[in-house]
Formats: sequence, structure tokens, C-alpha cells
Amino acid sequence: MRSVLSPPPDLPTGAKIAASVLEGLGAKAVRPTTDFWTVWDTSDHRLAAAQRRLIQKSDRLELVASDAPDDAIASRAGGEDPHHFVATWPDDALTLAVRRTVGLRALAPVLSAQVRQVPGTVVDGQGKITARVEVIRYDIQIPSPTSNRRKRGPDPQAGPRSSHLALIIRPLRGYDSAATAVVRRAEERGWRIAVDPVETALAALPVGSAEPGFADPAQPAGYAVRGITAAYLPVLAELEEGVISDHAPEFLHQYRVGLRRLRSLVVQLGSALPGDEVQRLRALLGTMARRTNHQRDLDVWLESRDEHAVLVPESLRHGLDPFFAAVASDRVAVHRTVAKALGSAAHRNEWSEVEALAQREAAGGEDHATPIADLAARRTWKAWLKAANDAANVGPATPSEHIHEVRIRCKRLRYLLDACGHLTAPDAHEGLRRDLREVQEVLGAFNDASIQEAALLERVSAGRHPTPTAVAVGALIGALAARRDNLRASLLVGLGKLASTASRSRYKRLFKRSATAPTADIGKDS
Amino acid sequence: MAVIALLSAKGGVGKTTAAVNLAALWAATGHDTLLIDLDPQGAAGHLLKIHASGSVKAKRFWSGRADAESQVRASDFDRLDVLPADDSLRRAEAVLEDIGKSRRRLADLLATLTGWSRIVIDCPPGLGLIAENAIRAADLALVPVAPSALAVRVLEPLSDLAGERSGKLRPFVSMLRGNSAFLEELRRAHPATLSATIPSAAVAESAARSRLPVVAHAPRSPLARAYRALLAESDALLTAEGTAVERRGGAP
Ligand SMILES: Nc1ncnc2c1ncn2[C@@H]1O[C@H](COP(=O)(O)OP(=O)(O)OP(=O)(O)O)[C@@H](O)[C@H]1O
Ligand SMILES: [Mg+2]
Repeated sequence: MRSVLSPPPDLPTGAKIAASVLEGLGAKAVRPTTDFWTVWDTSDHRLAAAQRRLIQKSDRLELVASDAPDDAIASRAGGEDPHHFVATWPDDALTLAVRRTVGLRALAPVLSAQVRQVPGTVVDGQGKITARVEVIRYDIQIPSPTSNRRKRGPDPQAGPRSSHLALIIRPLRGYDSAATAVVRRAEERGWRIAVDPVETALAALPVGSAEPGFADPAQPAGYAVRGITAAYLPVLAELEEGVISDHAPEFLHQYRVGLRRLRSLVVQLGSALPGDEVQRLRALLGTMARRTNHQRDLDVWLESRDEHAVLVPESLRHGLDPFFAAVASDRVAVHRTVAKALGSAAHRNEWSEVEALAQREAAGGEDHATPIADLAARRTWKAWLKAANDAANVGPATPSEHIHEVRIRCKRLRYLLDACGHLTAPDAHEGLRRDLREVQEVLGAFNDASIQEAALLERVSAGRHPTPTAVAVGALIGALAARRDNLRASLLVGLGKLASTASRSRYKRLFKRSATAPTADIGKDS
Repeated sequence: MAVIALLSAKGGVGKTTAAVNLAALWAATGHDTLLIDLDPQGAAGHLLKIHASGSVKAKRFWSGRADAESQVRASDFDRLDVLPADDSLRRAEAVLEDIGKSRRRLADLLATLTGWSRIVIDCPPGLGLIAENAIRAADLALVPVAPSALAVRVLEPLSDLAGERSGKLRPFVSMLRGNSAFLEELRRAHPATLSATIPSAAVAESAARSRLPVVAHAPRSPLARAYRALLAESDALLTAEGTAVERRGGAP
């Protein structure tokens, strides 16, 4: 393991200092190098959280573990800026390793440093290298988010530079005692074991959030709800850019989930805000999501193509090809429309309006000053009551439309649990979410089958397809209907569990509050 | 991980020099490489300025009771490590006899090593149990053949020794003087002969005196170029064999 040391406070400065430090340690200086590093991460520093650094150097981009920066986990030659969406990167080991951690999030430079390295070697009587020593000067700058990244090198818009000198001592396998001796010698000269200056600078950076949720249970609900809206904006903006450039269907899916979640939270916690504000936000977020409905439907078809194909007897399967070809060509046209709509002035105005609403300070909601944990708990209890009521009414013959309603209610409950469950039920909420997720999965499968069946009926009755296609699609409709009916049994079991008395007492104990006298102890320690 | 052995019945034909240069080239092209010196003379380690601590005795090593990895030392070159020979290897043949003439001991030992994608084995001259172990453990057994009147026949005992594994044996012309037709001659007798040919060159001696691989001492010399050709041909064979060629991502 390498050792990093920080210099003694009285170390003289000057151009020749590195060489004289090395000389004092019995090391021979070899050719110095200068490089410029840029560390990339997501706004919520996912790579850092996973103990990873993505470092762009002059000739390569490399991913390293933060405690072993000398050994790249993966790297790629070429020093140009990486595209901020990993989805656009070439398929290689680096992409895989980075994608695993950052998913669809966008990358941006979080730190840059001019790095001057003066390496040296310690050799034994045979001239064999027994340790590597290096004096490094880092000139660290934090790039501004609006920096022009087209030019390499120091960034005029970035924050102030800070300069750090460090000594790095690397043992060589089989010669550890030599490195230990150098460390000892350096310590005698006043150097101290320290954290790598780049690590220190990275650790000091403010971290944005990506999975918007509530942090402070005592925060007045009015601030908390506007705060969560503001927190969603950069995440949605990133995803929206991914939707427009269309690198992966997943962008659209996540974008819609984000909009839906935010809208559901704003509406369910709406008593924290003035009524007109809630109505406006609800309308805006709804409009934004609707722009992409059609494309998402088509994406779902294309993604489930193989899964659907196996539902159709093999001899008929080829009949599905024209159908999917039609879907794929629709998808191209629809995406063009979506991209245009998302880039339109109307859409941008709506964004600004949401932004402005999130910045408002006005009180006005009846629960404006209620601690967010209290409001959320009340709402969770209510959401459970509604979901459980509807669930209890589902029987073997309940029409699909009603089951669709139950599904929506479960979703609302889930969004509340996801964003606020930890505030009042820190120990139980994972378990609650897991149970709910199980029911939701069956509900989702049931709903998909019904919706797709209906969509197929509509497509074939529009008469756009030749006979083999109509036959294959007919077979698919039959199979989807059968699947839906098969799901009913497990659906009844799952919904029964959700509406059970055990579930009721659990939710009641954790979330029930009296509306007029919120449980006081939540706000106490604030 | 791919294992490449250098062996020959005859001494002084360029095994060690080839082993060191190939190992250095593999390291320079991104492979974590381990050079294992099985010759008690320790010439390979010497060429890289490395000497064993002498604490591992042959019996313990070959019986698998010594932790081989703890004896590994870093060379001066990135990604090139060396398991140096020590004096006790003089008794290796006898020890192998003692432990039931084992022919797979080395293969078993190598199977315990992790973290290297190329293992290069430098054998002592001769066709004893060490050579048999090396052939068994290797994916590719490179055999330098120096031109001489009887040279084409020296491979026969080696093929006999390799038996059903003789397909791993790849002779190459070593220490070639002038433009002789020796390559064709060797090819006729052994069609598996590689086309890369190592010329005889004074730079080999001067590199050895500086205790450096030729490819580092005189990277532009014809000899260094010949080793690079030998490397390319070996790599092609390893890939064709389906050996897992795990490269570190990125530039060397
Ligand atoms: N291509 C070459 N041209 C000239 N001299 C060479 C060449 N290759 C090796 N030599 C020299 O020949 C001698 C023997 O080489 P080397 O040690 O590589 O052979 P070896 O087969 O390993 O020998 P041994 O069987 O003793 O282990 C050394 O002095 C070496 O420097
Ligand atoms: Mg030798």
C-alpha cells in the first residue's frame, strides 16, 4: 500500500524543492511530468459514494478505487471529455464499470487539478529499484457548473486554486522494508502521513441529492414540499436530456416515473401549500408527462417483443413481425415529435413555472407549518385506508377497471412510503415497502396484460394488418387474456394481505395521527 | 492466465534471454506478468537485478508447503514480477523424484497463483522432471534451437518426453548468424517451428552486462524487434488456443 505524506510547515518553497526532498530521502529524481486531471462524477457523487474516482488525464480516462489510485479498475485511451451520459459510451470494460454505479445519471467535472509529479527511485547496491518515491504538487480547482469545457487546461471560470504538496512512497513487492525505511526518513524530516490532497478536496465538496426524499422530520411541510420539488428539477432535467437524445428507452421511463412521483407527492401532501399552487403544479407536471405517453406505450411493446412472441404458437409467430415493424416505425416518428415538444418554448416555460413555484415562500396551506413527518404520516395512513378499502372489495369477478383503480391507490401509498416512510417508521418502512412491492408487481402484470390486450384489439380492428398478422395478434390477445385471468388468484391473495387486520394495525400504529393534535414528540428535538 | 515455458535439452541456446525479454514485453503491453526462474543458476533473476532471499527450500517449494507468492519480487518494470531461483533448486530434480516422480507438481502450484495474466517459466537445460513439469504446466512451450549440424535432431528426445503434449512444443531459431537457410531446414524437420527468428547479436551481451532486457536496453535494435515478433507470434497462438487472454484495460 502506498503512503501519502504531507510536508512539514517550514518546508521552503521554490522550483528545486522536489529534487532536494528526494535527495534528502536517498532517492534519485527521474524525469518530472505535468498532467491535468479532471475528476468526473454525478451531481450526487455516486462514484465517490461507491469509493470510485473517474479521472480524465491527458491521454486516458480511468476509473480507480479511491484507496488504490495507482491501479486502474478500467481505463480507455484518449484524453478528450467523456460524454456526460454513460449511455452514449462505447461498449467496453470502463463503460460497464461506470454504468453499474451511475446508471442514467449525467456526469460532470467536479474537480480539476494541475498535477506536477517529480518521481524518484530508491535503489540497492545492485542498482535494483526497491521503492518509488514521488513529490507531487496539485493545483486544485473546483470547476463552475457553467464552465466552458471545450478548452483543456486551467479553467478561468473555476473557483480559487489551492496548492498542495505531497510525498508519495510506493513499496515494491518483496522490498517492503525499503519503503518503510523511506517513510521513516521522511517522518524524521517532518513529513506526516496524510490523506491524499485530491481525496481531501473531493470530500469537502458539497454533494447534491439525486433520490429526492425528505431529510428533516421536523421541517415545516410547506418548505419541505417545495424543497422536494426543487430537488427533483435537476434530476428530471438530466433525464429529459436523455429522452431527447434517445440513448436508451430507460431515460424516458425514469423521466416519467420522476414526474409521476413528484406529482403524486405534491398532491398528497398538498395541504402544505396554497391550494392554487397545488392545482397548478399538478396540471404542469401532468402535461409534461402526457407529452410522452405515446412513446412510452411503443417502448413497452418493443421492450416486451420477445416476451410476447413466446405467447404465440411458433407457426404463427412470423405474423407478428409486420406488427412490430409498424410499432418500431411509429416509434421513430413519435420520438421526433416528443423531442420537438420537449425542446419547445411552451415546454420550457412550463419548466420555468415549476421552478418559480418551487422557489416560492408564501404560506397559505393549512399544514404549511406542520412538521413534514406528521403530515406525511397522516397522509400515509389515509393512503393505506383507501388502498385497503378498494383492495378488500376485489373479488374473482371484479372488472379490470376497478383493479386499475386499486393499482393507482397502491402506487400513491408506495410513493409516500418511499419519500417519507423513513421519517416516522425508520425500522419498519423497508419491510412495508417490500410487502407493497410484491402486490404491486402482480397488479402491474395484470394491468399490463389488460392494457395490451385492449391496445391490440384497437390496432387489429383498425384493419392495418394482413391476415397472418391478424391471426398472430389474435393469438396474442387470447394469450394475454389467459395470463390476466391466471393472475387473478395471486392478486386476490396479495390484496387480501394488504387489507388484512394485521396490516391495518401495523399501518395504524406507525402512521395514524389525530389531525388536530399532531404527535408532539416528533418536533421536540428540533 | 497463460503459461509460457522456455526449455531445451541443450544449454546456452538463449532460453533465459528470451524468457526475460518476452516477460518484459508482455508486461509493457499491459499484462501482469510473472517470470518464474527454475534454473538454480538464477540467470533470469540476475538479468533483472533480483536475487532470492534464499529462505525457501526446494523441498518445501515443490511439495507445495512454501507460499510461493510470498517470494515474488517486483522488477524495475511496471507489471513485471519475478519468482527468483535459489540455490535449493539444485536439488529440485531429486526432490521431485522423492515425491513420487511428480509430473504435475508445477501445474498444481501455478493453479494457486492469482493476479497474473502471463506466467513465463525459464527452465534449466535438460530433459529431467523439471522439463516434464514445465511442459505439463505450460500452454505454450517455446524451444530455442541454435543452428548447428545436429541441431534439427535435438528436438526428438523433447518430443518423446512431451508425448501426447508435444503439440505444445514450438521450436524457434535462436542465435542465428548470417542469413543461413537453417529456418527452412528446421521447418522441414518440425513444421511447428515459429517464423520469428532470433539473430545472434552483440547487443545481447551488452544488455546482460547492464542487467537489462534487450527490449529495454536497446529497444530499436534488430534483436529487440525479433523478440517483439516472437511475442506477437506467441500471442497469436495463445489466443487461437482459446487461452483466457485477460488484458488490463487501457494503454500500456
Ligand atoms: N541472440 C543472442 N545473440 C548473442 N548472444 C546471446 C543471444 N541470446 C543470448 N545470448 C548470450 O548467450 C548466453 C546464453 O544465453 P542464455 O543464458 O539466454 O541461454 P540459456 O539457454 O538460458 O542458457 P542455459 O542453458 O545455461 O540456461 C548469454 O551470455 C547470453 O547473453
Ligand atoms: Mg538459462
